[in-house]
Amino acid sequence: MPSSRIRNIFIFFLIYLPVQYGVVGILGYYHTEPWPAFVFPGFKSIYDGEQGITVSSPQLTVTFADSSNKTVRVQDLLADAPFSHHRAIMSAQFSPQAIENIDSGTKAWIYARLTSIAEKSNILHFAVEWKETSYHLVNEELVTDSQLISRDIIHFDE
Amino acid sequence: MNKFDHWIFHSFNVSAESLGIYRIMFALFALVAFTPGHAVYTQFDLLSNFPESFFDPAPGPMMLVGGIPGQTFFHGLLLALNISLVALLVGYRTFWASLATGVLLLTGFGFSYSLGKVNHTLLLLILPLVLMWSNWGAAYSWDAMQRPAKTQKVESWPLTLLILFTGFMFFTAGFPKILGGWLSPDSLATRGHLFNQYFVSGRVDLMAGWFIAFEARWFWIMLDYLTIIFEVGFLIAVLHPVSIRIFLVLAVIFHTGTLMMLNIAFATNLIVYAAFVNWPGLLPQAGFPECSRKVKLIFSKIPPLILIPLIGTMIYQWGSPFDSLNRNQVFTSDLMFWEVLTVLCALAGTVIFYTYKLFITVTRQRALNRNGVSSNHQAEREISSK
Repeated sequence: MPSSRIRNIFIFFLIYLPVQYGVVGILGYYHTEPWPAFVFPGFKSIYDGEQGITVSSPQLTVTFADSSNKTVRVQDLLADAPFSHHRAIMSAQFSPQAIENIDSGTKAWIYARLTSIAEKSNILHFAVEWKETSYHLVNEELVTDSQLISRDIIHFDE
Repeated sequence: MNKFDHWIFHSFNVSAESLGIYRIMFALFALVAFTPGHAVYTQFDLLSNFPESFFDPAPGPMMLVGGIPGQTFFHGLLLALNISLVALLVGYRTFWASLATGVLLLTGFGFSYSLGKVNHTLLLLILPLVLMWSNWGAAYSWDAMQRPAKTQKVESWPLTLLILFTGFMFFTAGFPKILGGWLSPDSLATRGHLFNQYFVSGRVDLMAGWFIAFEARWFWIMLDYLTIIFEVGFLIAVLHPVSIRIFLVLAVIFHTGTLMMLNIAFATNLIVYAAFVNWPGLLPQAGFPECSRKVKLIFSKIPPLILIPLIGTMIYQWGSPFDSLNRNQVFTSDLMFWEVLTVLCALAGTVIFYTYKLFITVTRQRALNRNGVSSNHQAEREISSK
């Protein structure tokens, strides 16, 4: 490759890299981080042990026709996706709004997954509870405090 | 030649042998540790089990795709990826094998990152697309055996481009930390992230528990500052080959620290850093030509167009020995065996290399001193005899 073209490649990337970083910042703020992008994770946020960390997490329960219940782990429900994806998928696909607008294909997939995990069919419904858990340090002891923020049910008996 | 040109073309003095050894290392790493189709992050075929509603691509080219393709597509992609990696390993049509590897990796991970979460592995995925311009198939390859004279010239500018990407990406990790308040002595940001990873994400392996109990405030403030100096400083370091090497060593230490403390490995970055090592100076030279001769003998009996797809298919069928170790869940957290092994190997390699270099320097200096003393004595004797 001629030297002039190589020089132009470098000039292009020296301009492109800061511009795409700006775009990543804008898109990330309003939507989600674009891909592919030349960025590493920022881990910008600061957690203070005394102020605490607050994290929302889902609790999943399946109820069968014989009235028995079973708690389902997220890592079992989403076993086909890498662990690092689980939190993002749960937030996007199992939020109260997503459950309200759930389509038949997703419902069928959930039913099939639950049947496979529980090794039992005749599922009545599947409850998704989002809890907000605060982790505090009190006298250097970890104290947790959970609060229910939403409870949505996907019915299979309709 | 101006400074800009000097930086582009002469930051690294690479040899065909060094690039050849690195090409083999990269392909082996991808086949054995990353194992397309077997390791957790490369089981793309499982993506087609998810319903269409889960397809939520990030802004970018994946938005042009209609949804998650079927299993046949992913099996085809993974098989092609394994075959292209084997072609890269033996250096068969290296330019095209690199192009295929890069495009297939980007496609597979493009779908994987379309479930709503993007992991930051781009550096590894684009590596073959950058280094294919370096002629990394010029040594220890089928290409070199076929056209030895024509294929010897290698280019170092792709390495400069790769380190520019690395430096910039580290800057994007460090800059938001400054905006987020990491430099405030009250923030103890690293400790906060440790608490988050330990208690919320369940990353309790290796030395995480020890660090949780370590309360020295000065230590945590120092870590916050050092993290930012390292991440932001990397972009400045790319301007000079000496500072690049210093920062690459610091990067190995940094990744080992995050692995031990936060159980976050970033092992895919380490194979990228290995591109900047002068391998012929480190590895025993005798083995490679001998190995090349054996490969040549094999190729003389079985044509590469039969052998490469055959080996690629076998690897795709059976995977690598690391797969069973990864599946056995050696760790409580989501760490995988190959990630930990990669980081620890990189650290051990760096320590051994620099200890050896120090030893050689000290030994040479002593020898020079001895020679200097003896020649001085001889000169004195000659003068007194006269």
